[in-house]
Formats: sequence, structure tokens, C-alpha cells
Amino acid sequence: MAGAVTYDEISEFNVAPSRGIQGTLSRWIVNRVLPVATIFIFLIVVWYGAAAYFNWHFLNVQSQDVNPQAWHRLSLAQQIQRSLSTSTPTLPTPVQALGDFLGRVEQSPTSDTAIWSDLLWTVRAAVLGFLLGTLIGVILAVLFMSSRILTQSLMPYVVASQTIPIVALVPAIMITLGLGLRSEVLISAYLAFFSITISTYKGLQSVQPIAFDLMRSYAANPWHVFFKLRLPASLPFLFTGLKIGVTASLIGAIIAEMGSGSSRGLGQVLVAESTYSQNIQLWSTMIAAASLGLALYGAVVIAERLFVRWNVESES
Amino acid sequence: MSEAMRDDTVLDANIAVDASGAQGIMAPTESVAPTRAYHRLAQGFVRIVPPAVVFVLILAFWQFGVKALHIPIYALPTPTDIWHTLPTISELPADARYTTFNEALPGFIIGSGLGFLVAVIAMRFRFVARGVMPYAVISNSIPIIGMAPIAVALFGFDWQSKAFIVAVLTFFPMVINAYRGLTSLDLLSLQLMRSYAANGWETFYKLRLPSSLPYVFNALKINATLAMIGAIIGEYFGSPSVGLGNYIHNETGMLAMPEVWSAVVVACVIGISAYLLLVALERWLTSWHISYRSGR
Amino acid sequence: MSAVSPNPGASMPETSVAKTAIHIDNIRMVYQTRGERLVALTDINLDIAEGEFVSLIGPSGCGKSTLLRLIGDLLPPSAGAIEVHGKPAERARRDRDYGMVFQSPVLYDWRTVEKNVQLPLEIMKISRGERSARCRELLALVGLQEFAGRYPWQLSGGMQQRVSIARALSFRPSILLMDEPFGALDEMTRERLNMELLNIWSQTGTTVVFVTHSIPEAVFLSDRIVIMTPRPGRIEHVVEVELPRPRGPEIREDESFFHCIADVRSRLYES
Repeated sequence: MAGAVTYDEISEFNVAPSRGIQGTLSRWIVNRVLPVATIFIFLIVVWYGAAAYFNWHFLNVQSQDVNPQAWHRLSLAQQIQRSLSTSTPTLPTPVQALGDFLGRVEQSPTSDTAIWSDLLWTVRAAVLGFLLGTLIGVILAVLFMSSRILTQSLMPYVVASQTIPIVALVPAIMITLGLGLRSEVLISAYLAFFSITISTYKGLQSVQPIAFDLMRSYAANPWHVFFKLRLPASLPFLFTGLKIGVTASLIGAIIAEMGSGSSRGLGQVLVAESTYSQNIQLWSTMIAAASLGLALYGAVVIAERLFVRWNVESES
Repeated sequence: MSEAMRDDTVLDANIAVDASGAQGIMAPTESVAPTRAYHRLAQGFVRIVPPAVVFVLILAFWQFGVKALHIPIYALPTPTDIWHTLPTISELPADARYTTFNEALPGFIIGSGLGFLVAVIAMRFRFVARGVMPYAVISNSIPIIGMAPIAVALFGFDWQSKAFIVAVLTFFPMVINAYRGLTSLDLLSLQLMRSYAANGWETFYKLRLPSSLPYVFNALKINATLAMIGAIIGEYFGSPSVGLGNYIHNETGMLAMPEVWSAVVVACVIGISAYLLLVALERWLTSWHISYRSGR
Repeated sequence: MSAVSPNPGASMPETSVAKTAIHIDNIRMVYQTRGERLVALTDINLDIAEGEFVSLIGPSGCGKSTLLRLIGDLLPPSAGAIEVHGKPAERARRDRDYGMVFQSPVLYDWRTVEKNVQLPLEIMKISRGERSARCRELLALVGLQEFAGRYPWQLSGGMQQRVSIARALSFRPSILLMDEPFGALDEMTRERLNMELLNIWSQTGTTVVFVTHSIPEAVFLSDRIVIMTPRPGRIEHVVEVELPRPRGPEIREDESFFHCIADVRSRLYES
């Protein structure tokens, strides 16, 4: 103990003095930008380190077969430099991956090698799956709200549906429903509906009894109670579910594409690149998938801002 | 203590009983014991029967639907087809063991463990929290599973690549949940510790750790599912000739659907067992938590 | 005010016999949040004698809770000094001189009643046998011995607060700091716990600083009442409560009790 100041003590007392705009700006840089930038640099350094390690190993083994003399004449620094610039890396550098990604983005959408057509295919599957999942989720939540016996009979399955590895089902579903968009949308919806069901149900239940008493005192009919009270009250919860669901639907679409023999979509692109060991492309496709995830998530956040203006819970 | 005080105590006890009774819990008093036992039985009945009925209905619908519509076995086998195939597949147990214990479990332990460690560091050093948490939150909206082929490219076909992708998948949910659990305390319970001049370790061990447990279990339950998904998907991108994902992939290629569905059933059983195991562990360790008070 | 009173200094804080427990010297407290400076407390001077029962009373925002936290070294003052038994407040906290009771019981959900009472004892490295002995003794003191194995949620609000008092007393602190401990309870429970608190106080001889906004509660319990006013928080008056001790429920019917309440009320409103 010996007088050491603990974290809690600091956090409680640290009320930083403010000095106008400048103070706000510098605090923003110190508290937000600096930590994020530090971790970013750390990750980049780790990435380069890992790239050097993996690629050096690969080149070392490979050159043993091809040209051991030439490889061993190089100094370690040169070997590492070679490892980071090889065109067939095991782990590409961030610059290689990003460069490849930008190159593919710049190609005209009609070009065969461009990523756009596959991206759009996956977007279509994910968005349709998301919409279907939302529909199922909301309907289930409303059913659960209105019937106790339905909740008791179906809720265990809703929970169980998420504990089973859905991916195992993908090939079977593909065979049963046929390849193509239909199965993809269904799998995507399957992954998306759960969080939407649960959070909408929670939202519909979230209304305080006293608010119902108020509606009763107005002699409001059930329709009014639903649309004026329950629905608006559950919107913030619904959007919490939608934000999780939209990512889940994208994951569902990609998983479906991976497991199926269909010839399109980011998941299938990943399969093909994996088969041909196109490791740089593997990363740039992953960058595309990540950007897509962020974009879809951002779209839901914007929708939330439009529809739920009164709630601050969305901050977390 | 005075006579009046005793009365008050009894009064208070009754209030407590009333309050908990209203929430559906019977007070541990002798006189109500038979009612309680009956109540329990009735509650258990209500909990089990409706889902069981639904289960039977689904199976019946499936069985007779497939028969009635003449759906060929390579498209969708009936439950009885699957049931009869199940014991005939000798390699299935080995595949399930490999996927679960060689791939999913190591990845689950490494990912969840590292996630918790990072959450503790983030709790202790605010700078780390501010640096790491934005990335953890962003990771939520990214399809990380797409990294499965990358893992295979880096670590080869064997279990290490699957353990790696599972570790990556399970890392972030644990970081986010554990950090939330470790830091979302009310100010008063921290001030209480301060008034005892408790040091950082005691505050962690006696306050932060127990109150974070419900959050940690939440993450573990999410991670159990993610681990199986990661392992199975990982096997699609190459695996030594074992593993459930590998098995499903191969049998699908041969249109051996009863075999595929049997493997799916096994995967489901593993997933649900893992989940139930965690639920049991959670009940045991966090029986004090609010979510168990209403008798659920 | 008989000679056998267990708190000889309590009802006569003015006599030189009583040693000073808490010495507050010219305290000033300023909160600084984004662009705003809020003077929470200014010119606070107060001496509290050992074994004395002092209440802090005033409207919301007068800084009475802040003053309590300053005494307990949960917050550092912007200026001025607080001495407890002749040493700085931080030193006193590290010596475990303070027992805190907050408005909410702040019991740890995962610990039984018994384990909650033992929490500070565990931190203070007191042996297991001693821990359970003291715990039994204190639960008896607050009348909850049958509830030792229960969890907090199985108890009513009043019982929870009694556990929290037992916990605060468990390590025998020389000073009890109570921040509106009965504020969230109904009137009947509150009066009953007032009585209990007086019993406990007379048995332990602890110095008590008690924050409240109930005038009857302050009058019933205290030797002195410190009346505070907001914006900025200052001490307006210190009222001596001249009611005899020991005080029982019957004193609430007494004319001197009403008189004292009226006195405190008029001073509160005149400021």
C-alpha cells in the first residue's frame, strides 16, 4: 500500500482544468487520437514483424531448393528486405494489401477481375437477408409479447438456434434449397434474426406499468397502446438488435458463399484465392469485406439517428 | 435488544418474504413447503412441455412432409434416415473430437484468456483502454470469419490454423464484455473500498472480479458458438483428413446427405452441450446475480 | 446527563475534558468541470469532539455530502486542512479510522450478509476466527443474527442498511461517517433505525458525523447540528441540542423536542 496511488484514486480526482477551445482540442488529441494512434503503430509494427518472419521462413525453405548459394550470400538485413518485398508472400505487408485493394477498386466495375461485382453480389445477399431477418425477428418478438405459451414453446429454440454451429448446416441447406441467392439470403437471415428478436422483445417489455396506466386513463384502445407507447419505446432496443444483426447478416452471406459451390460473392472469391494461394488478394478481399461491414453498420447507425432522436443509449 | 426490536425484525423479515414472493420465489419457511414443491413441479412442467411439443411437431412435420412431397433423400433425408445413419458412421466420433478438442477448445481458451488479460490491462491503464477499445468496437462490425483462409495460409492445414482463427474470433467479444464488467461499477462501492484503504489488488479481487463475472460468462457463451463456427469454417480451407467441417465438406461433394445431416446433428449436440456446460458453471458461480432471482 | 453516561463528552462538547476528534481548518472546495468553476464549500471551520454526535443539515447543493467525503478523504480539498486525531485525513483513512455508511447500502450482491460484514475485516487481514466472532457480535447488535446466511436481495431496504451499519462498525473505527443513511427508507423504519443507532452509539462511544435533510432526525440524534447553506456551501449556524440523554421514543412527544425543531427550522429558513 505504502502511499501508492491506485487507478481508482486517479480516475476520481482527475478533473482536468479547461482552457477554452485550445484546451478542448489538446484534450481531444491526448485522450482520443494519441492512444488510438499508438495502438495503430503497434499493430503495424507487429504486422511487419510477422510478415518478415513468415516470408523469411518461406523464402528460406524455398531457396534451399532453388538457389541456396544466392540466398545465403545475402546479409540478414537483405534477406528481411527481400522477405518484405516478395511478390508471393505468405503474409503480405499492409502496403501490399492496401495497394492491391485500391488497384481492384479502381478497375472499372465491368472488368472481370474487379471486386465490384462480387461485392455487390454479397451486399445484395446480406441486405436481403438482413431485411428478412428483421421481418422474422420483429414478428417473433410481437408474437412473444402477445402470447406466453408461444414464448415458452419457441424461445428455447430461438436461443438454441444460436448455440448450434450454423455453418455445419450450410452445405446441407445449399443442397436442399439449391445454390444461389435464395439459400444465401436464408442463411444470412438465420444469423441476423436472433439479436433482433431478443432486443425487440426486450424493448416491447421495457415499458413501465405506470405508462400503461396512463394510456388506460385515456381509454386508449390496444392499437393506440401499441403504436403510441410500445413501439416507440422499443425502437432504441430494436436498433441495438439491428446493429448486431446487420453484421451477422453479412457474416451469414459470406459463410454461405464459402460453403457453397456458387461462383460469386466475396466468400467465393476468398475460396478461390485460398485455393490458388493468392495471399495478397486474400488480404485485399478481407479489406473489402471489412469496409463493407463498416458501411452496412454505418447505414444502420444513420437510420438510428434519424428515427431515434430522443435516446442517448446508442452512445455505447 | 428490546422486545420491540425483535418484533421489528420479524416485520422486516415478512417484508422481505413478501417482496421475493411477488417475484415468484417462495420463502424458505416450513409451513409453505408442500405448496412450494407443487409449485416447482408445476413450473418445471410448464417450462418443459411446450418446447417438447414443438420439438415433436417439427420432427413429425419433417418426417411426413418429406415423405408426402416425395423429396429425394439426396435433397433432404428424413429424421429416421439420419437416426439410422448416425451409428453406422465409425469415423464421426473421431472427427468431432478433433474439431472440438484440437481446434475449437485451444482457440477458445487462448482467445478468451488473452481477451480477459487485455481487458484487465485496459482497466488498469486508461491509455490502453482509450487505444484498444475503439478497435474492439469496430471489430464487431467486421466479418472476421473471412480471415479463415488467411489463417490457413499462415499456419498450414493442421489444427494450429483453426485454433488461430478461433482465437481471433473469440478475442474481441471477451475484451469488450470483460472491460465493461470490470469498469461498470457504481462509484459508492469503489469509495467503500477506498474508505477501507484497500489496495488495487484487493479492490480487483474482491470487487471488480466478482462483479464482472456475469459479463465474462456472457462473452464465454458467445465464444463457445464462435469457436465451433471458426473451427468448422477453417476446415473448409484445408485440413488433414479429420474434422467435422472437413467431413461435411467431403460428404456434401458426394451427395451423401444422411451422413452430412448426421454430422450436423453431432455438431449441434456439441454446440448445445458446450453452451449448457457454461450455463451450469455460470449458475454456480454467479448464483447471486439478479437474473436468477425471479426463479428462472 | 448523568455521570454514568457512556459518552461523558458527548452531551458537553464545550468542556475542555473532551479531546478533539476532527479538526476542520478553513476548508474550501472547488469543482472544475468543462469551463465552469463551482465553489462547493468555502470557509468551513469546525471542531468535533471525541464521542460526539454531529449532524450536517441543509438543502440540496449545500455541500454537506462533499464535506463528509472530505473528512473521510474520499475527495481532496482545494484548500485548507482536516486533522483527525491530530493527523491528516489521508493518514487517518490509511489507519482505518473511518467507517462509512452511504445512502444506499452498497452491499456486494455476491456476498452473504455475513460475508459483507466481514469484507473490511478481510481487507484488514484479521484472522478468520476473530472475523466470525466480530461478525456474530455485530449482527446481534443490529438484530440480524438469523439472517447471516442470506443474500442482500433477500432482505428489505431497512435490513440492508442495518447490515451496512454493522459492516461499518465491524473494524471498530473511531469515527462513523454517515451520508443520509436512512434517507431512502420509510418514516417508520427510519425512526426505528434512529433509535437503534443511538443504542449502538451509546454502546460503542464512536464519534459520528451524520448527514441528513430531516430536521426531526437531526434533532433526535445529535449533540450539535451544523446548519449549512448553498451557493457557495457555508456553515451558517451550529445549534446545540439540549435534550437529555439517553433519549427514547417518548422524547419525540416532548415539548423541548418540538421547540428545538422549530429553532433549527427557523435558522434554516432565515439563511
